[in-house]
Amino acid sequence: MFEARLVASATLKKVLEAIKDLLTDASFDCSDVGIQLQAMDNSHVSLVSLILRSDGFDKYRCDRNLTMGMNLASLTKIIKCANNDDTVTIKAQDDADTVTFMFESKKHDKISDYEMKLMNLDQEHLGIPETAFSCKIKMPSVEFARICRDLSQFGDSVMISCTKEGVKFSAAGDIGSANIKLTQTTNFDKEEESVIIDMQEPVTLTFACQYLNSFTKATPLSVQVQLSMSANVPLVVEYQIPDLGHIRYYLAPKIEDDEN
Amino acid sequence: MNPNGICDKLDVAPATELPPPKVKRRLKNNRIINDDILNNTEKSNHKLTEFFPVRRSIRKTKKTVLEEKQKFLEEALRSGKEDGLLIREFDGKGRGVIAGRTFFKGDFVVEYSGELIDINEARLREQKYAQDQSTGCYMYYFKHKNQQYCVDATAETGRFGRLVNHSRNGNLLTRTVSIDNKPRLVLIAKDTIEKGDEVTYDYGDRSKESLKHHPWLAF
Repeated sequence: MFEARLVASATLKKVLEAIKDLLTDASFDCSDVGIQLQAMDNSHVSLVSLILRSDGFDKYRCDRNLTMGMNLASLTKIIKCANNDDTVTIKAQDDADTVTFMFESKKHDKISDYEMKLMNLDQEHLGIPETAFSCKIKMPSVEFARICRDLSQFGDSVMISCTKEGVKFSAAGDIGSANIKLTQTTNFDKEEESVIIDMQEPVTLTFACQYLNSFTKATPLSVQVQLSMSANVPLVVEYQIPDLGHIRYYLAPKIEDDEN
Repeated sequence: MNPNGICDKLDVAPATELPPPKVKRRLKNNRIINDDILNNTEKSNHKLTEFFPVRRSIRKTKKTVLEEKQKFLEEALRSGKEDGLLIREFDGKGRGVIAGRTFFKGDFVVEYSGELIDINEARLREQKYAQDQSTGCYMYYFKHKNQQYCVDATAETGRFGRLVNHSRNGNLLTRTVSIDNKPRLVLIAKDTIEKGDEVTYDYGDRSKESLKHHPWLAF
């Protein structure tokens, strides 16, 4: 038996918004630890890694490890049926081929049940090593979303270079070029608005805008975002989900081939 | 749409390269497209799988495990190799076989090899052997697919199987395996067999006649 209860269904909506741009289907792995998801997009350029810890739920029970393969379009349809302040309970039997979503209204006068068929997805799991990154940049998530949106008008790729002076985002294309520089905030009054750069070594990497824009769909989940970079390894874009877990996006850099 | 539309889409030129003026661009349209394709390969999207290894479960399904075991057994039988066994002389019961290494439960230990004969032939031979006291009992009767067979290992062959002694609480089990549509007898470890232990199995013969001639069958 699997059962997970979350008071704010709004969080679940936001999580779904954050992944449905990149993925069409996803396997949710449920265990004692919580609900986990790891999946690559169709092109295998980016990866979503989500964890919703069991202690973040109001009630969590998972007798046996369970993998629930879901079509995200169908899941979206169901989650849309919930009001933002509804309590949501996710239920499944062991070895079940369906999952039930129960929404309870705040006044407890309305209960809706939605049952969804599960899918058997044969998905590849990647082993992601724990690495120490050369640069870690914390910045307001809204700011990052804005930068990605603005720069994608200029080109398909954005170059992120992090030095001790600050972090520079640049893009260039037919209409010209764009550069956005952020310096570390000296004023720490408002933590959520600060830019914090933790740099061991300067790094410059280029990424496809399209994926970065998809990642920023997670902006409503968190006020801050953390970018972690090292030379020639994938970028990690991490959003904390308050009291519940985090969502991490991995993006392979665009690499220049030296032979030419 | 302007004819350069295609260029715009493909264009991932490095930041420093300014787009050429419009007229030139049209003239050099072909060249530019080629350049763009080149640039695309120069700074291309890489896959995450190039950075992170795909985790594959090393766990196998029960069926696969059984198939592998069967394959391994067949290979061992075909090759006729008998590793990890030693012959030792025992007081009172003659030669026996001891384990030269540890065998684990379910491991193939040795084949009871000999001449596969049918039941009628076995009866004739049995009568012949009964006349000579020096021949031991090397006739292994068994049933395979509802047919009675016998493996006659009376003749000295240098193989180990025929020398394995009897014990009612032996540490080996007999199985029949079909190879090239012929049944073969294999002795499998019933439990973990430590190096130096004598390997034995239950001959299963408790008939009065046999007990009279071979009283050790009772133990």
